[in-house]
Amino acid sequence: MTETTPAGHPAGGHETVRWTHRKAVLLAPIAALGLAAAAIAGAYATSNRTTPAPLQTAVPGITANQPDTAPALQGAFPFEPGPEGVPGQWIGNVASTTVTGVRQSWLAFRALSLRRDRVLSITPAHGHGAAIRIGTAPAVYLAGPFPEGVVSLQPSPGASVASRGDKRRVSVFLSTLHTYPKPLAALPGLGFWGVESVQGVLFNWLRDAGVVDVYAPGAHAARIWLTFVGRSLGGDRTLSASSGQATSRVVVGTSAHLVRIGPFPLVGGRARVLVRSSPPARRYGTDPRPLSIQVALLAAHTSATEE
Amino acid sequence: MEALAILFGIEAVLLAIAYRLSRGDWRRIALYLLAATAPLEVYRTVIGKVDISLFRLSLLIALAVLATAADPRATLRRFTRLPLVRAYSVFAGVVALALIVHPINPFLAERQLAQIIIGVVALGVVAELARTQSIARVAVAIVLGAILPILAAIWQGLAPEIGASEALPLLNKLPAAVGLEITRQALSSFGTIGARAKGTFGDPNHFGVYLGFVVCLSLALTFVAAQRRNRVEQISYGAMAAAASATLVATFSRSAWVGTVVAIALIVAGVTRAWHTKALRPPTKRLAVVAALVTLAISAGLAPRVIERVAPGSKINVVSDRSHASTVRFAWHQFVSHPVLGIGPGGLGIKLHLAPRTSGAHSTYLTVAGELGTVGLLALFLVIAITLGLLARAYRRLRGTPLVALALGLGAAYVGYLASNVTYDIFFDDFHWIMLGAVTVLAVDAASIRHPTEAESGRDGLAGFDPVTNGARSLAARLSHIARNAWPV
Repeated sequence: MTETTPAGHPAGGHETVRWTHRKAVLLAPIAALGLAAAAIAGAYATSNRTTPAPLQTAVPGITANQPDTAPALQGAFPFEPGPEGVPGQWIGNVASTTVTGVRQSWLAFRALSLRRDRVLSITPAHGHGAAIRIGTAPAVYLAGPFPEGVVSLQPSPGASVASRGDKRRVSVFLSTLHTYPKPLAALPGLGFWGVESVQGVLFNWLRDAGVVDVYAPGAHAARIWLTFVGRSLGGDRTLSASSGQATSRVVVGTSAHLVRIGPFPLVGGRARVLVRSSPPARRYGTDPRPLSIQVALLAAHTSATEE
Repeated sequence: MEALAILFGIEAVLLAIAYRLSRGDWRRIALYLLAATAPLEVYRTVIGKVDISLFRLSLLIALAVLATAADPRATLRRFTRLPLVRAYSVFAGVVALALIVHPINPFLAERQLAQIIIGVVALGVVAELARTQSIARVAVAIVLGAILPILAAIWQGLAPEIGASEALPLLNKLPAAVGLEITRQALSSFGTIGARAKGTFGDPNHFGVYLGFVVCLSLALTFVAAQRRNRVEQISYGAMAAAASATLVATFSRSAWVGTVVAIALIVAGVTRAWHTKALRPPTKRLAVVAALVTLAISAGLAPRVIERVAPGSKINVVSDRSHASTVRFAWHQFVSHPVLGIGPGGLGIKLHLAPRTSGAHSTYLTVAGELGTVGLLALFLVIAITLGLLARAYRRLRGTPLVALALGLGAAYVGYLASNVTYDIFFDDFHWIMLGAVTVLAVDAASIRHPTEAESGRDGLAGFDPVTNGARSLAARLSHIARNAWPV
């Protein structure tokens, strides 16, 4: 027979209770030690998943040129879709922007002039200015170098009434304004959503297909490469890029990694690269935009041996 | 509706766990819930124009607990008398004034105001909930609250190794507010540095600073446990400190590292002094060896990448450094041009062409200077001065007692937090309000401990406790009781 205690529990119950209590007491430190071990393993795993920085391409003879900032225009009209579908701003008689970043920066942008060609004078607060002729068709322009600080943009001739239905006095339409440390610009255009920034890193989302305009005035290079840190949303995608007869194809994974495509021919210092994602973009969550590939730190490279 | 159901479901699960750990004490339950949900930043959604997060749901539960368990009028009176509540109200007033004068970004300004008001309520609620608890229990709640974020970071690090998705559960079913979509979709941090642990935060820097706070409190609780010679608690809190430290390294956040190094230096200085005055017991050889081994395990393989990340002029930092330098200079120029009330709250976001919910110079002090001018900066310094004053007073009163470890841990964490804010904008995160609530509780605890006989009635069930004549021994006994009840197992 089992001996019972006055409370009616079996005699072995004391040991069971003690063992249960002991287990409960030991559970916390064991769980905490397990968490610490897993955290150390997780830290090692995270540390090993590196994304090489575009600046350290480690390809001899390749020079990198990433955009520093995407400054906003002050004194211009609010953002609106431009003729190519890329959002931009109309300038009246004068506007300004702030150049930040390295000591000397080049301003790159897409622009078109209303009804007639205009000369856009770009004047920094200190140092030399520049004047560029803006045509009536959208094109990529690059001017500089400018020191840090406010830069004024003044078109000549001045603004005129936009249209019969739009009485605003406008002159030049500017979009995708970026600053670069070197006179070599790679601007995402039609097919990309507007520029965004997370932790100081500029990026654009690609829809199904988009264009990247490269402009390197004065460059003697015949070919350019594009690099960016890319990440595909939801699943891997194949990115096809073509310019003229040159085509390039690369798989973009769901984790951020360095993507390098090219070479593409540079004609007169310009190239237009058409990029296409497969499978195409789709909506994620409540974001109304169809998204495919995140393109950050887009940069163009020229081979030094060809310069 | 599905999103709301998911948030309520998660909250219910956490509530059940808190209930189990707290043995039905509703004030403790509410405290655990607030501490656990403050770092679950990504678990939020937007319904109409209202942001709903787990932390805000916990705040509602805590308010309900206070409304049913206390005299609301007396609670409100105590709330309005809290120095930090008053100081933050002044800061909120400055934001409102700057918004009226310079309405450059009303969306972000109104959001900032709402954030401060909700935060002030949160810190008051934590202080009120902890009136019948103790600073040790608040510290334990905060340390336990770090388990889920650390687990999330572990998963994000290890999932790709086993071929699984690093996405956190249910996040894809929670619609994100405008401007937060990318954060929701970004499974690991995106940038030139590569993968960075971000746990349940949207930004690895915010996660890192939070972990620094947890490391400090875990260490403080370890010292308290060592004083009581409670090996189980020493191992538990020491392991939590190791887990938080390892995850902190994996965030690759320089701002968080700087803050934590400052905090650890302060803790080392304070604890060494406490060892000399015999307020704390020095570590045994065995403990020192274990600590050295854990440090070695964390640092051995990670050191090269850490050195690469902190080295001035390192290639992986070029873009980040350049971007931070330019925004800092830009904010400084805005401050010089608009020295009184700045360019208006949220102005940097507009002028620097940042994402809809982002506006900062990568330095809280310069962001406030640029957006709110000298008036805003003075209001911010008022808040900081009051917090540091409360901490300094608490430290002075507790010096020579074992509770000094908690004062040191919390004080060092706050100073480290201020240091992190020199190089990043992290001042108004949800966990910050919990930190301020803990500071308030510490100040109250320190004030009551000055008069042991008064202090020992009514707090932590110590009524009837027989104080001995030696003050330190009385405190040690009280501390022992607090700590025995603190670990919820």
